[in-house]
Amino acid sequence: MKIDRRSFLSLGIGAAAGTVLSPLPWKLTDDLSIWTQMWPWTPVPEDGEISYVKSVSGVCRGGCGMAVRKVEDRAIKVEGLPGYPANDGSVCPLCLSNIQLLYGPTRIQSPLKRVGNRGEGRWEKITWEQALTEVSRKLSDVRSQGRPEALSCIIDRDTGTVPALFERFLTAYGSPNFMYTPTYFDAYEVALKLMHGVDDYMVGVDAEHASYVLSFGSGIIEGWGTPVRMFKAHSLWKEKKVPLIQFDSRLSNTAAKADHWIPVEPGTEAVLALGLAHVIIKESLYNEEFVTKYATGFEDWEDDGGTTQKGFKSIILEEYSPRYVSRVTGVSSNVIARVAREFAGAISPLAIGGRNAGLTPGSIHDVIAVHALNALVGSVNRKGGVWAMMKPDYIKWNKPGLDSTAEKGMATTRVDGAGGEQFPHSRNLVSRLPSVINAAEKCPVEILFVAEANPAYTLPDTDKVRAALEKIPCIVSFSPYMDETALMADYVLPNHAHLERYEDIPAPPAMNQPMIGLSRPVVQPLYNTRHVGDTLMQLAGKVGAPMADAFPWENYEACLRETLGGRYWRSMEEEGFIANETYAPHPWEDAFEESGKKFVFMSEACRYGESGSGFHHVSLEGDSGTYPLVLVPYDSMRLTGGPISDPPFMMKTVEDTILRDKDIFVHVNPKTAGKAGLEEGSRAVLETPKGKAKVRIHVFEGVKPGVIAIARGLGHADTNMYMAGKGVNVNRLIGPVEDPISGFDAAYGIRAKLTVA
Amino acid sequence: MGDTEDEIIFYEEYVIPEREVPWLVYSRQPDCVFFSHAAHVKSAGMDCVTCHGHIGESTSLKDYEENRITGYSRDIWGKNIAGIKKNTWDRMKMDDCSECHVKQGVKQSSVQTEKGACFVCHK
Repeated sequence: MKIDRRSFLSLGIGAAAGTVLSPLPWKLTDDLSIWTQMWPWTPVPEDGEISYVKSVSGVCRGGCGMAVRKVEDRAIKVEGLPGYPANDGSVCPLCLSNIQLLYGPTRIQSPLKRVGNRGEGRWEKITWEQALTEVSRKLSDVRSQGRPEALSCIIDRDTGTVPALFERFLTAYGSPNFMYTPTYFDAYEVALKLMHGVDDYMVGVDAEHASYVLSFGSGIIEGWGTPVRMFKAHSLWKEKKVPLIQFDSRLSNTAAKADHWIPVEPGTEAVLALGLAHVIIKESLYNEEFVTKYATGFEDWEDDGGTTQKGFKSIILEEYSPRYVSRVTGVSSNVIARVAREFAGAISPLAIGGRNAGLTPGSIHDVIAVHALNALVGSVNRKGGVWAMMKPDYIKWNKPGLDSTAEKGMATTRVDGAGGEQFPHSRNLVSRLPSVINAAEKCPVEILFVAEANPAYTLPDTDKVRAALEKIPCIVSFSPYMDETALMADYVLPNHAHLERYEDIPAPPAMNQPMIGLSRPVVQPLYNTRHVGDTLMQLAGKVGAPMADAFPWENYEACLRETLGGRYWRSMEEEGFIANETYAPHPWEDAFEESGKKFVFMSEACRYGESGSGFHHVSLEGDSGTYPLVLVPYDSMRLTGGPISDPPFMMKTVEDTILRDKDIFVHVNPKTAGKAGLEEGSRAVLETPKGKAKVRIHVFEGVKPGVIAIARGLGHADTNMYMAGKGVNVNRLIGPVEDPISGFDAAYGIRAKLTVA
Repeated sequence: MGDTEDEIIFYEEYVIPEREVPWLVYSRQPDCVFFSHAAHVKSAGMDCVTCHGHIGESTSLKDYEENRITGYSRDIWGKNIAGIKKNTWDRMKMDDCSECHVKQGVKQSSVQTEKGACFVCHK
C-alpha cells in the first residue's frame, strides 16, 4: 500500500482518536502509578504505635498549642491543640512545618568552633567540654579585666524562664546589657507605662468582643498578635457582622477582606487617628464618664510654675482639623467624619495599631494616638477594648548575690542607651546597638550571647549590623539552626530543637487572658545538643563563684519544675497549659497608677516639638529628589519575617507575585510603573539610601501611586538550601529611624527609586 | 483428608512443607488508607450488600484475580476496563469511597476548620 499524505494523516488522526477514546491508556496509567508505589526502593514510612504529645510551640511568636502525632519515636505531623486558648485546634503554617525544622538540614549537630573567616561557614566540631571550657575562659578573662558590662545578650523575647536565666546570668556576671528583639507590643508596653502609669504590664486586645473595629494598617490576618487567635477573631467578626475598617497604604489580605479598605498615605496612621479624635471631641461623642472622672491631661491645666499647659483636647482641636488630616493622609474629610461617628457610636469600639504583623515597634506616638482613640470612647480595660494586663509573674527567684565586680558592672549605663537619660522609659533598644558599636573606637561589647534571635537578619540595615558583629571579639550562638547570626559566631553551643526541649511559653502577644504554655520534648534529642538553660548553668559553674551560686538548680528541667510549682506543673503536664479564662481587667477605678489614679492623655514624657505640645511624626530616610518613591515592607502568613526562615512546606505556598525562581517582586501602582517605564514582570533595580537590589515588577493597583511594597522574610543569606539567595532581605534596604521619645526603631519604610535594569 | 483434588493440593503443597497459605484479600487497600467496618456498619448503619454485593447468598467464593501490574485484587478497579459500574459493589477505588462520602455528607469540611475530607481515610 502506498502511503500518501492523505492516508498518513487519517491514520495518525485515527490512532490519536483511538488512544483517547479507548479506556486502556487510562487503566494502564492507573495500574502503572500503583506499580511504582510498590518498587522496593520507594521509601515507605515505618509503621508503629501512634501517639500524640501535647506541647506548645516556641517557633512562632503566637506560641501555637500543638498536638504532635508520632509513630513510635518519630514526629509525623503537627496539629492544633483543641482547647488551647490562643489557637484552639488550629495551627499556624510555621508550626505546621515545625517537623521540617526538627529533621531538616539546618540543624547544628554538635558544638562548633569557627576556623575560617567570619561568615565563611568553616567549622571545627568540638566536644561540649572543650566548648564550655573555652567560652568560660573568655568570660573569666573579660570579668577579671573589670569589664563585666562588656558581655551582652540578644534573645528573641523577654518572657519566660529561658530569657530570665539569661538575664540572671548577665546580672550575676555584672552586665545590664540584656537585650531582646522588640516588636510593636514592646512599644505598647512603654505607652501603657506613660498613659496608665503601670510598669511591667502588657497589652491585651479583647478582639472577640469588639463590635466595631478600626485597624490602622494592622495585618489582622497577616500574623499580627497571636496569629491563629486573630484569624479566629476575624472569622467571628464576619459571623457577627462586626464591621472592620482597614486603613492601609496597600491592599493587604486584611484590607481585601475588610468591610471598608480606606487607602492612606504610608506612615500617616497616627495623624488619621488624631483626625478621628478631632471629630469625636468636636462633636462631643466621647465617653464623658471616662474622660471626666478617670482621665487627666484632656483639658488644659496649669503646671507647678503656673504656666498653662495645653491638654489633649486643645492640641487635637487646634492641630488636627479634618482639612489638615485629609491633606496629610489622603482620606477625605467626609470619610473621616463618618468613620469617627460610627466608631464613637458603637457599643464596643476597638482601634488596633501596629503595621503589618507588628514585627517592628514603630513610633511611640503611633501607639499613643491609637490608644488615646480607644480611651476617648472608653474602650480601655473594658469588654471588647484594649486592656492593660499584668505580665505573668510566676518567676520568683531570689536575687542573685553580686560581688563587687558585678555590682560595678551593673551600675554602668546600658550600651544601647535604654533606661538612660535620653530614653528613660525603654528597657531595651537593641536596634541602636549596631550604630553604637560602629561609632565606638573600642568595641563596647567583648562577648555577645545570641539565642533564638537572628539580629544579622532581622535588625534594620543588615550591612551595618554585620559590620558591628564583625567588631565584636567573641560571639557565642546558642541557635539550634545555622542562621545568619550563627554563621557570624565564634562558638556555636547548639540548643535542642523546639520539638526536643522543655520551655515555658507565657503571654502570647495581645492575648486577652493570662496564660502559660508548656513546650515539651516530643522526641528525644537527635544530635549532640544541650538545652540552653543547662548550657548557661554549666557555663556559670565553670566561671565559678559567685556566678555558680546564682544557679542552685541541678538542671533546667528542675529549675522549670520548681519555678512553676507542683500545682501549676501538674496541670501543665496534663493539659499543656494553664490559663485564667475568666480574667477581667482592672475596672477604671483601680486601673491607673499615676496622676491621682487617672488615665493620662498627654504625658509630660511624650510631649514633642519646640512648644512641647504636639505629636511626633516620623520622617523617612532619604531625600525625595533622589528617591521619589516610598518603599514599605509587608508581611504575609506565608513568610515568617522573624529569626527562623520559612521551612520548605511554607515556601511552597509563597505566591508567584511575591517570588518567582530567585527574584523578588516589588508591587508598583500602574501609574508609578508607567512613569518609570516598567511593565509587569520586567526587571528593575531598587535603590534606597541603604543599598541596591535587583528585583522584578508586579504591577498592582492595590498600592498607592508613589508607594512601592516588598515582602518581608526573604533574602536569607545563610546556608539554608531551601531559602538562601531567594529574593531580597528588606532589612538590608531599610535603616532604623530612632523614635525621639522611646528610642525604638520607628521606620515604617524608606525613600527609594526604581530604574529599569 | 483427600476427598477432593484441592485438598490433596492443600496437603501436599502447604501442610507438608509447612507453608502458610497466602492471604488473597479481595478488598486489600494500600497502607495509607484507614478503613473501619465499625464506622460503616455500626455508626452509619450500612448493610453488607452495598459494598460486598450478594456474597451473603452464595455458598462459595469466586476466584481471586490479581492485577499483575499493581498486585491488588481485580475487584478494586472492577471488571469493566473503562471503570464504569452498574452496582455500588462493582469497584472500590478512592473515587468510589469519596462518592459515597459526599453523598452521605461525611465531614467534607476543609482541614482549616475541622478535620474531614482527605483526613477521613488518610490519617
